[in-house]
Amino acid sequence: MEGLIQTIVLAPFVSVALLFLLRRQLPKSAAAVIGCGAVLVPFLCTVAAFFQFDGTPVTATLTQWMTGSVLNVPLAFRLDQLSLTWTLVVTGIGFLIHVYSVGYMHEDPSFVRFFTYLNLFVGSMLCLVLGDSMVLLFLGWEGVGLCSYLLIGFWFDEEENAKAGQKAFVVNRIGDLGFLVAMVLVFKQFGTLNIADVNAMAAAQAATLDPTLVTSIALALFVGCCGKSAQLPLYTWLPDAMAGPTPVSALIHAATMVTAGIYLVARMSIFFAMSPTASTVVAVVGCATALFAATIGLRQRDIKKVLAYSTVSQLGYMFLALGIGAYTAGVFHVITHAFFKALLFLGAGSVIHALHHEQDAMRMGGLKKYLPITHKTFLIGSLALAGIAPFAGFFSKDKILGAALYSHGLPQLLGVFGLITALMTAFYTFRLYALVFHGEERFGHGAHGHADHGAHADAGHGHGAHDHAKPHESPLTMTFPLMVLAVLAVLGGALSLPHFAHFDMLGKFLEPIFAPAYAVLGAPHEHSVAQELGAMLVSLVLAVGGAWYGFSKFSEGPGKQAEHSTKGLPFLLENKWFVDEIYNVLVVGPMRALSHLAGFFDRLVVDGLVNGVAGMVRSAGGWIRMMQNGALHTYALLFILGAAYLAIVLL
Amino acid sequence: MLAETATAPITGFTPLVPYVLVALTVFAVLMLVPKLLGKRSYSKDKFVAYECGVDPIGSARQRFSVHFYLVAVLFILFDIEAVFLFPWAISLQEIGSAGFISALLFVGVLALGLAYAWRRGVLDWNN
Amino acid sequence: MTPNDLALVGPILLPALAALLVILVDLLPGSQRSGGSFLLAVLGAAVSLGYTIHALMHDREGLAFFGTMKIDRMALLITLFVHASALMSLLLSKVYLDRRSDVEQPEYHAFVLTSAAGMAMLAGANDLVNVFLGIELLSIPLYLLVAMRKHQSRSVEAGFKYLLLGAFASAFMLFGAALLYGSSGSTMLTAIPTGIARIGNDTPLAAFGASMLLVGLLFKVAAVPFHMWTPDVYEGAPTPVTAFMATATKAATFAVLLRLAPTLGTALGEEQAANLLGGLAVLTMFVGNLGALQQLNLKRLLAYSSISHAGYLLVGLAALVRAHGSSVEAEAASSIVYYLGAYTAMSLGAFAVAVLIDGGKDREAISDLAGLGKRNPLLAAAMTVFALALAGVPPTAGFFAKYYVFLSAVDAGLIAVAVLGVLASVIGLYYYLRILLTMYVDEPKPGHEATVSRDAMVAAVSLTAVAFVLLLGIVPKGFVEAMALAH
Repeated sequence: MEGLIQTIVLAPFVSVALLFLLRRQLPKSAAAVIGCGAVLVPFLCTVAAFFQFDGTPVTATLTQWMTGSVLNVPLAFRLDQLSLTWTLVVTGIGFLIHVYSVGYMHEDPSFVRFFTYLNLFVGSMLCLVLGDSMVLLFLGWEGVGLCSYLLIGFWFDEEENAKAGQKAFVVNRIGDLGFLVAMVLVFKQFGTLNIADVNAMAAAQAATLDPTLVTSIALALFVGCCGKSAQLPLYTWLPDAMAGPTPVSALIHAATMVTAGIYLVARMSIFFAMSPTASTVVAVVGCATALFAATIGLRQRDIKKVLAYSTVSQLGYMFLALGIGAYTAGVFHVITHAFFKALLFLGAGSVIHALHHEQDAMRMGGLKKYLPITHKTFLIGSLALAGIAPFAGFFSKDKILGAALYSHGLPQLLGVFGLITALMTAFYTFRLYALVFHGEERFGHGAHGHADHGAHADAGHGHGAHDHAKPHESPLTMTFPLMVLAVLAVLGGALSLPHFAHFDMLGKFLEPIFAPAYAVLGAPHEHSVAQELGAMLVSLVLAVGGAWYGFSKFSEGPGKQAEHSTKGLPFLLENKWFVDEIYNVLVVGPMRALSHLAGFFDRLVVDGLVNGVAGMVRSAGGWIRMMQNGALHTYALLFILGAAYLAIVLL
Repeated sequence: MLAETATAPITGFTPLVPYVLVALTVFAVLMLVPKLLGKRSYSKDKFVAYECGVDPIGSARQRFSVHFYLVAVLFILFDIEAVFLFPWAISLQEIGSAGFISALLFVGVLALGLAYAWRRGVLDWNN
Repeated sequence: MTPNDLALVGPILLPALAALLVILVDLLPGSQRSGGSFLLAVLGAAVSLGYTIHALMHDREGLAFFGTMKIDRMALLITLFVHASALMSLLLSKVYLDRRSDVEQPEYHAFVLTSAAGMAMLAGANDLVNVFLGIELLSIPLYLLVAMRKHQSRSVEAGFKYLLLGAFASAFMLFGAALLYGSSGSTMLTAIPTGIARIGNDTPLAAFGASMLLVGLLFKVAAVPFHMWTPDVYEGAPTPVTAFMATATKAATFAVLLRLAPTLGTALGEEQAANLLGGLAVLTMFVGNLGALQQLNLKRLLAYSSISHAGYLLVGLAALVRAHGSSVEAEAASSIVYYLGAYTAMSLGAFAVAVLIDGGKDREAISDLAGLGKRNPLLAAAMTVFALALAGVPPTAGFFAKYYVFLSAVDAGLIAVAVLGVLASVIGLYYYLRILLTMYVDEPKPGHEATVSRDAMVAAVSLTAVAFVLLLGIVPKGFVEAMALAH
């Protein structure tokens, strides 16, 4: 078992080293095999570990990493129900996306570099998920952030991409600050950073711990989560992050990395359970994000932007679930979302691939007959995202909404907003589906849209804009992952069926993880069959209604929406409520002014000080150099003086 | 086996005083006595470099062959060898065959050195 | 002299034997230009290294020659570093010497091996006489090696300076050893403290003797104010020799200092000795790091860096003396040994890079490194690892080496020394980073690009060094355990 865990964590890193060292020598096919193998092996190991897993967490220690009188950080990885769940998702979906990337990136000159980063990402993510101490978790946290930054700016010769990478980087630093503060607080209180120990101690001392401290820790953690999982107000980097290659969007910015925040909250759920304030904040922020991002999604033209805002929105759902104490439902939604959102992104990638980097949905349409497999799988993904039974998204979304609607007070209100969000989600999902696959063919004539930024926008496709051939279906390496993910998006809901079906594998499996939290909160509310059916019916009606409206309105074409709107709500929505612009005015502007001021201060005072010190240091260096005049008698003299000094001091 | 059993260690600085005094005295006496007792006569010949009674030809501050040094170094080496071998020869009865072999090795290493120097042309006076 | 004695001192006898063989083979007719001496020397060094590792793994420890040699774990570990350094330095020398016609190669190889024998002897010496013998056996070949390029004035000048000052230091050592013998009645390192203690506390003679002995040893490790020879000698010596003497000499001499620690504590008083060593450590760290700031020559820069590392090691020694009798003592001793291992790896690596970019021009300007990041990214990456390790940046061996040494200083109560040490390493960061900046940012001046020679052996040395620097840094725990000394 320990060997399996070690293999899981080390395989991607070994592959990174191999790919890096042999980047010149390796042919693409070999790099592809190594890159995919480095995720397949951990996946198989995880599956093996899953079947060997007997419910007791297993810790595999690679080595003592830091030892000292104060802080001990072993390089150890812990496999329990929660990390096992995440590891399965990360390696399973990760493998499919790796396979897809082989086809997608085939003609890119930086093929090997791409797989190096991708494997580095998987390794860091596994380190994040499996790390048994907060230090390791943080290391993985930073590692995935770094990879995300590298992959967003993968085509770094495009200025916009480089900027998007920088934005992600800066925004995430704000979040990391929160994480670091939480780590310091935890260490100060508990004297260790081992997650299991911290959780156990927190649970044991639940009655005596200072509530302010608990709330501070939980909120500081949540600030970190807001950055990584793109919640209000730190979500702005995620839509821009779509500048990266589409498989990256699917893997990192939809299925795995952005769920790290959910993982962290679930992992430290005891702190949130003990602090009603923090939980409320989580729920409200999650719900607000879900609603807000959904409104923006209504009017986006770029196929990837729609999916990006829907990701932000769905992440909001997950936080809503965690905030109202429906932890299992939140984790369930992570899993199903990973299935269908990866599917949708990969499908979008296939479309973009077929249209030679066209991303504007207004310039698509009628692709149904050219891309049959992509069409069918995309439809399945859309049904799942819209929350239509019996697809995976329906069950997980329903679990969250049910838990919210049948509670009291604020969560109930949040549940209503959740329903509205579900309606909008169904609408924009089918708007997109209709625009892309139905109606007249609007691609291929006239100049390419704004989404095409020259040499290589998305899709590492060599043949560029000159091509007039009909769009064609993608190769098998790309369609195979689509099909697998489609199957998962259909069947994924079976992991945790509604309560009355008496089949809740996931809930049973995760029970030990959330038991301490529920011990504080009280057992989750049991709903009657009628209540459950009622919630299901409401959400289903809303989803079907939204989907039908979206589809019927746009199945002929974009209509008026082909033109950019210039006033009113549509104008606001299309421009994403001008949040970026507001941030520019409110935050970036003052920051710039402040930095000018700081620069002035810096030159005047700090530079003066630093230069003064540096000057002193340099002149001391010069003095030493002067002594070193090369004359032997000077050396001998100093030698004697030194010895004499020693003798005098001693006697 | 420089024994831990050695006797009465020296304490304090007092024993050093005679040592320093003796050293200073010897030095001073050696410098002073000739100055005081010596007869002095200054003549031109007195300042001529001594070259085995023959009149010097040219300056004494010539450069001369590095071979002199090499031979001198070799000479010192075998000088020391001889010094080592005297006590060895006397105590041969007690140190037995181990001592005998050690000395043979010692001589052998030195011989190897000599052979090497020879081969490298140290003793070859012609170049 | 028993067979067991001989087996114990195998790591000393083997390189000496190899040196004799090298000379003997060179005597054979026709062997002059065949390169046989190189192969033989490498084989000799490798066998010595292998023997040492074998002895380490099978705990072949014990006293030899009536207790005058003490082959314990510490001695074996230091011998391991010494022989590894000798082997690496020999491998480095091939490409370096082949480009220069003014060096007698067989002599060169024999001297490296002889010096290694002396160092191994020093590592195991448990008697003042053997200490002196070891010091001389290691020094005399080094004087010659430094001056090996007899037609290059820089090299000869360096050799001459090293010889004169070295003789000077030897005189101090002998004087100190005589006084220690006089004041304790023994030349055995383990017996000296008890001998001094028998007399009582007022032991100025012992104090004087110990400090004079210390002076001689501090000279060898290039501690301030006995460091003046270092930059000139390191710069003038052939680069592989510099690599060897910077690493192995330090390791061997610190072995003696470790053994001498109880004597220093007894003779000078533990408090006073720790303060003295701590003060010297601070001075050494600052002088080394400050002196390196304005250097333009890579070897000279590494010389100052070597001085500063002597300072960090002295911090550990100060902690060791201060913590006599407590559990921290073993911690401090282990930290010094760990540091020596780390320093051997990273410094050898840096010098290996210096050999690779030398191009036979005897011009080791740092500015020649400009653009190396583009022209030879692998070599630049290796140099980056070494520079970061020397600067003490995690996760390299250098970081943990400093960390453990400073930790033991703090545990021993020498907090000021540790703080000043950290400060000094911050200064040090500057010039190591300058190397990186030069490699990756600066544009090369035309005509002054370092020409990188492709040599498998040197590449192997760099790679080994990189591996060890990273291994020690990423998984320090195992190595710390391996180097833990039961004190």
